[in-house]
Amino acid sequence: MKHGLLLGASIGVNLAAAASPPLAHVIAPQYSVFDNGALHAVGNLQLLAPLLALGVALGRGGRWDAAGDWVLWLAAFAAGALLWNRPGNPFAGFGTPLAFMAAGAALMLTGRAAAIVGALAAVVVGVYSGGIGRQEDPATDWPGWFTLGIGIGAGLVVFFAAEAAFSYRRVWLTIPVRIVASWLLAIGFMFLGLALKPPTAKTPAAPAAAADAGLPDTSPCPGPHRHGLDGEFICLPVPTIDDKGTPSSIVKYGNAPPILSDPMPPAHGSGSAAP
Amino acid sequence: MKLWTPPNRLTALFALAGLAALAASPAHAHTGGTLGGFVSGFEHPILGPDHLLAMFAVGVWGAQIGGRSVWELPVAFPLIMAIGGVLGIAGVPLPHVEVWIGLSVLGLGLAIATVWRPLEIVSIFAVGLFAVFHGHAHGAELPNAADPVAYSVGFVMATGMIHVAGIGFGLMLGKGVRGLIGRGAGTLIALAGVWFLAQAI
Repeated sequence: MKHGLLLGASIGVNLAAAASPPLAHVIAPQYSVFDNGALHAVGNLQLLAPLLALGVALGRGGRWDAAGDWVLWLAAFAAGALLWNRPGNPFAGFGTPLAFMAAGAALMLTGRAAAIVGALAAVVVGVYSGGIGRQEDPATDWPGWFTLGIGIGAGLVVFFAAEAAFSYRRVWLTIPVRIVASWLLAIGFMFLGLALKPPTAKTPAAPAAAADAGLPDTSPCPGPHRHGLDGEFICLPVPTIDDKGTPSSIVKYGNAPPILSDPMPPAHGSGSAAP
Repeated sequence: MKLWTPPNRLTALFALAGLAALAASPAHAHTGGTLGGFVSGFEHPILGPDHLLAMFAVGVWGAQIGGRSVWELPVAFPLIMAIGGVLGIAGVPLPHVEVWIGLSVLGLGLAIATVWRPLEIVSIFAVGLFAVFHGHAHGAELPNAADPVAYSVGFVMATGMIHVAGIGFGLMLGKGVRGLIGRGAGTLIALAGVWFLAQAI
């Protein structure tokens, strides 16, 4: 009875968390960024699969072990969000394979080995989740809200998967769980092969692209330019910077945010139209 | 002697999962001529009859051997298949891949038809040997996929589900009519293997 109630509560909260947010009624825009992050955790297969596997692996052990590993996951998430995407991280390209392999190994094993590997997997998947959150955080005016959303969403996925697995521990489930674990390990191994594969040389872009479009391929302009109706170059003014660091094409009114005085047409080529 | 025993919960689960896997309709609209993402990877083993029969046979054979082999063979296959996949991704050539794939269908079919119950290590080795070549065939196509990650997730999951379908068949029907259904299925798989082998040679 107790387990049934726990499972029912888990499913209910999961459904509530997975429900599409009524974006039309969002009060503050940063909440939609947060919601986007939270849904990213349940909508991104690369993230969801190791999270679910980790949760089930933790839930198959003892409840206190699972709670400890969940806290470990949380700390690793914070560390991953802060550190993973720093330049020079030698493991940066291996997050997905490592997360899949760690979660698969934790799911495959039983007994004491499972407890040790489970803790290790909590760290690996946590760092990976945090790294993904920070990496995919869109450049908005509310930095960190997306990552926070992923953290909350991913944390709930791990928690409820663990709770459901703990509530429904059955001996016969070992076989399907091991089969799924082997899939995760295999997928992780394939990802590792892809990550280790040296990038193939890219075909250089066809230089005749501009000529094909009837456009000359070299710009005579010192700065940005656009094309006229016949393909001719129209040079755009080069913004100058005054001694206060304000570009000439931008007007500032007191402490108000700068306003473009002369919106320029879409420009391409060297430089850019707007600073 | 009872010719038929009702399935227990485990076999019913495997059968349901297997039926669901076989009943899945691939989204042809999104596959086109180029390799795509998850759906493309998922349908690749299902639409290739040689892959489909070999992986189905692994599940049936494991169920026929019984004991730990029920899960050991379907677990070993994708793991070792991944090794072959990595070789394919890396561009390491393997000799006569298509011949080996045909041989795998023939060999696994014969093992089921003759109810061969070797030592665990022998069955894992045999399945692993075949898995390397199946993985190589998949892996060689992987770098060309539009989304290699989703593609590999799709084909590993499809592979696993075909195994589950095979286990379900083996547990539920394989021992029916004094094992004749299982042995008959093995014979048909072996005949298909002969056909694939003839095509490859």
